[in-house]
Amino acid sequence: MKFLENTPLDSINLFLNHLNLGESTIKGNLEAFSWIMCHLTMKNFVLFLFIFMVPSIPKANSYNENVDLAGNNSPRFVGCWPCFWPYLASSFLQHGTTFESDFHGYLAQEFGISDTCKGLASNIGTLGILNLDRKLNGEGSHRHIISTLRFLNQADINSLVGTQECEAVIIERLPVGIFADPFELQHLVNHKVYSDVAVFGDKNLELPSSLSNRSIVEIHMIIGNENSSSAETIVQLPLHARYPPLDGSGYMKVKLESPELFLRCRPKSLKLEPCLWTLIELNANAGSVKTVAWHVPAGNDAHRNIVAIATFASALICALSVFVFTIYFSKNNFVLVPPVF
Amino acid sequence: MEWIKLRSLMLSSAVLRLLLVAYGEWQDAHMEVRYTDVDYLVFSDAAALVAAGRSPFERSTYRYSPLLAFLLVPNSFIHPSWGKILFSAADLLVGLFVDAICKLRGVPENLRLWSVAAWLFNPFTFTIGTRGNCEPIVCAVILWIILCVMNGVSAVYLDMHFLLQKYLASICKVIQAAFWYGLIVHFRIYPIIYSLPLIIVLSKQGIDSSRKRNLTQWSLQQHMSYCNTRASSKASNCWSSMWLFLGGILSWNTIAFGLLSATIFFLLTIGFFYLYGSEFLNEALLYHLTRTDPRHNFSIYFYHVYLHHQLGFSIYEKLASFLPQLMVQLVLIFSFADDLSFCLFVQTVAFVAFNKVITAQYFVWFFCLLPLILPWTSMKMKWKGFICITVWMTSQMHWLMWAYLLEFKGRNVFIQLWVASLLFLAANTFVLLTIIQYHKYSPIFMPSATSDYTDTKKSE
Repeated sequence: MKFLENTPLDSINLFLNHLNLGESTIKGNLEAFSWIMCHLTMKNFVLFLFIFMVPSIPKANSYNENVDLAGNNSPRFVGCWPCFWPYLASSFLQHGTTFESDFHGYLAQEFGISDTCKGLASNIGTLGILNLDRKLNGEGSHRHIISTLRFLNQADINSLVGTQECEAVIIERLPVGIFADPFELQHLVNHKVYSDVAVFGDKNLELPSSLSNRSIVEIHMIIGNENSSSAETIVQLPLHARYPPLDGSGYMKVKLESPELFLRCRPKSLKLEPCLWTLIELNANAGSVKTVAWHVPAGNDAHRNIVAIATFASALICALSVFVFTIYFSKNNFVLVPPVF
Repeated sequence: MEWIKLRSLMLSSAVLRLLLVAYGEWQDAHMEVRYTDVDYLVFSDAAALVAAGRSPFERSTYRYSPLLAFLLVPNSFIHPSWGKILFSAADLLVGLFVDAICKLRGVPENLRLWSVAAWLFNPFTFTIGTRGNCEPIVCAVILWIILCVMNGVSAVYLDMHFLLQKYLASICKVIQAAFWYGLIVHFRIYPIIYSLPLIIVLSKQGIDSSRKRNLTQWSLQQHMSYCNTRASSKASNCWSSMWLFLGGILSWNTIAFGLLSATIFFLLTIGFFYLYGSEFLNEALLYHLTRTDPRHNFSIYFYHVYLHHQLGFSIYEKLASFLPQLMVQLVLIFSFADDLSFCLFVQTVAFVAFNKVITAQYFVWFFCLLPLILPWTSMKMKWKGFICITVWMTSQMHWLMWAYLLEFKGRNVFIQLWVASLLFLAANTFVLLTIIQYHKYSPIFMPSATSDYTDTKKSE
């Protein structure tokens, strides 16, 4: 997919730049238009018709093409997120999808380029992620997954948050062997660590992996402020390991995929109706993000028989000891002697 | 004078608990690790749901009677610590009841105070109530049932708690014991193991008109002389004595007790089933009866359950884990039922030790009965008592060490942890047998004055 530069599109660009549709919307239009240009031989005047026909192009096309077009670290405009809709992932599972389904496909269905919202004034290209570090902190069954986001241009972020209320939206898709405790996360919300959090899918805290399903954690975190000089945004999510299926090696390797990262912003001062967040996907597909592995101790099925025998034998021995000893020491008390009134 | 000493004991315990509740609030707000137990948050959330007119079982992991949620409804509009204050008050009530029971049996004041202190100042005890665990309520009810069975009419309370004395005098009877027993079995299933000893003791109350039975009094030289005469009248045929036994326990008291407590239990079950549906049955009742938790706990069965979880359990395996428990319970009941407090104590220790799941809060179940048997033990702190405490605590610490390595350091120490749980069972067995060995058997009711027994009432 070529990105056309010196084309008659330039004049159209100029025209469209003066159109107050919101910059990101215009960009979407242009890219779709150039896709059409690659494949059609129309005269220039017909191009104007296509511009107005763009809304009829299936929504999925433009979003997915964006994914292919842009570079690895460039953020992508997703759409306008209504404020009354609390979580991005809430309807992901309701749509009958499985966890392996493409989250991008789901987003493309939910959001369309025809949505108009008060977009970001600045170029969203400056809001990209420089890199995303993932680290599993702690030992044992209770750990924290720490995601450190470094933006390309922190200064731009800082100036953006002057006028906009911005939040990072992190979607973690947890494997079967790991769970997040919704009550613990709510405690963090109460302590203002996150602005909001939700867990979807299997929230059972007690069952072992073999009887559990996957879950999704969605975290909203307010990012930056005007005075912040910190160049990083750190998201710390407490996680717990479930009892894994038995493994001869003694450990089960559980892999944590990299999260889906988004940024949502809305103007601070304007209280326009409808209230909409501008949602941008932050891509951190650069090679720096690696899958994090968690080694969880697992029982060994080679022990099965010996443990069963020894357990029941111990119970029997102790029970018999109590039995014999009690009879011996209380042989005069035994209640089977007919009670006398 | 003695009342003042008890009062200062109670007051200092109350102050300690209040301070701990306050400290707990501070720690929850300021530190990462909470002082409050996770269970308390579960109760509070369920109570908030009840206050909003919904089912408490909407709160996941709420596996208790709805009564508990009802009790904690004021958490939502008085203060979130209301529940903790309630549990701590139940704690203090247990102390009072321990004193009452010992007093009824003529235990001298200093021993009584030690017994009460053994409960009130047991670190395990005061943390459990202030952390928001509901076990003190269960303990208070169990002790109240013992008091009722002992038919505790006592003039001793005239000067202390006038209202309490009036209450005791008027309605502390078998009927009341039955009511509370039905309630507590609904609340926490485990007191069902006390049914047989309670019935055996109640059958001794006899059908004569005297309502006040003679309670055997504590004495310095108490011996088992009482028991020797019974040995001579031992039935030669085991089966005929079984029939006699069964016939013996049937009396108006026991029938009334059994019927009423069963009625209360079923009424509560049906009532809550009507209110909350099958969720109540599954979470509050069936879960406890069928619980197979593969996660590590003090029980010897945990690793076996984890290794077999995916394969399921055959009926033989379930029976195999139930039989030792049953055997031990029956032998203890038939040996010690007459000495009610002691019987309940050893039963509870054995029940906890042989159970499929053991968590630390279960220990309170026998800690509340321990003060009742202390006056009758010939075990001295030096050295038998000290050894028992050390063996029990050490085996626990040993298990906790491996559990820490597994859970917080992520090391595969399943085998070591399992062996530690076997050692803990062995320690429990050792302590149980030692306590039995050094206990001065003392049935709570004196036998009726017949010609066979006149010469056994006096202690040597």
